[in-house]
Amino acid sequence: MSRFDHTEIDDVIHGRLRLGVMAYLSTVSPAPFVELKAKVNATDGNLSTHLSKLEEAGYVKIEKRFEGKKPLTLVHLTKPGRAAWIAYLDRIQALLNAAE
Amino acid sequence: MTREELLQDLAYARSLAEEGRHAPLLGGAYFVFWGLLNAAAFTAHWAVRAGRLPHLDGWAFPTIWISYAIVAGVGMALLGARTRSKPGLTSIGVRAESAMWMGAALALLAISVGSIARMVTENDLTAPNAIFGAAFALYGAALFGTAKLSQQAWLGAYAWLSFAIAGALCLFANQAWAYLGAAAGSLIVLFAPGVLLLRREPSNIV
Repeated sequence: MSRFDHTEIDDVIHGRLRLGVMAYLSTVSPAPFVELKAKVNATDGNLSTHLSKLEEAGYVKIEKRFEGKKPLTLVHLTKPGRAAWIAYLDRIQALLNAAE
Repeated sequence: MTREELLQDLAYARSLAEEGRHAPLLGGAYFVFWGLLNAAAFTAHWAVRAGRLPHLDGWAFPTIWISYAIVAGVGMALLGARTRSKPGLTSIGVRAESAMWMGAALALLAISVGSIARMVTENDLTAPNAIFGAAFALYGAALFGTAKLSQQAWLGAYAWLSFAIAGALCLFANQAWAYLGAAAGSLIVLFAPGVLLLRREPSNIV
């Protein structure tokens, strides 16, 4: 069984939940928090924690606003976030190719 | 981390990206609304031209089309509020759909303003008859673009139907019955795909 050096992979992205968030945001951005939560099957707290990590890295931007009287939290994929996502996919691809 | 674990993670990421890529289009309610509104307005226009409704000393046509504009404005405001709560609002397909139809609407507005201005300034009462043919050509272009960009190939068939109706309406633009044809066309290329899109639309977060 092949082993990978996980230090070569962007750790900010490569948690299962954060991976799902980045993948979904790559095609739907901004996504409402509740929509993202349903898509990645997470709890409010869990998703918030992971989004904070992505936000600290500058990969996502959280926007809070009101839609009428309802609060709405939108999660945007930032330009550095998209670049990091593409770089992550390239890195994974290279690792897989090297392992073949 | 093993290769198998990595492949599993990638498959998971791919499935989520695909969900966003293939998110259902959210224009169904708009298609249904415009299909019905256009059909009603075109039918009323035909009825006045054919003498089935009173001419009202020349006020019948302004009454029809001003009422049309008011209903359109109110309807769009209500539909906008409805759509904002839908999931996938910012997906690629929905953004493409929105941009294509916004472009078509602005083009149609320009053609309508120009044609009505010509009717008023040149006293050319046939000038507005150019609008509905152009409208169907623009519907066709928007349907074609939406079908391609959202990968909903079935919508492309309605684009071709719309192009065919546009050609026929340009050919018979000055015939009263052409407005009845435009009403039927609106039901075919707007209302019908709208119903199909509504059936695929997510009701809530899924």
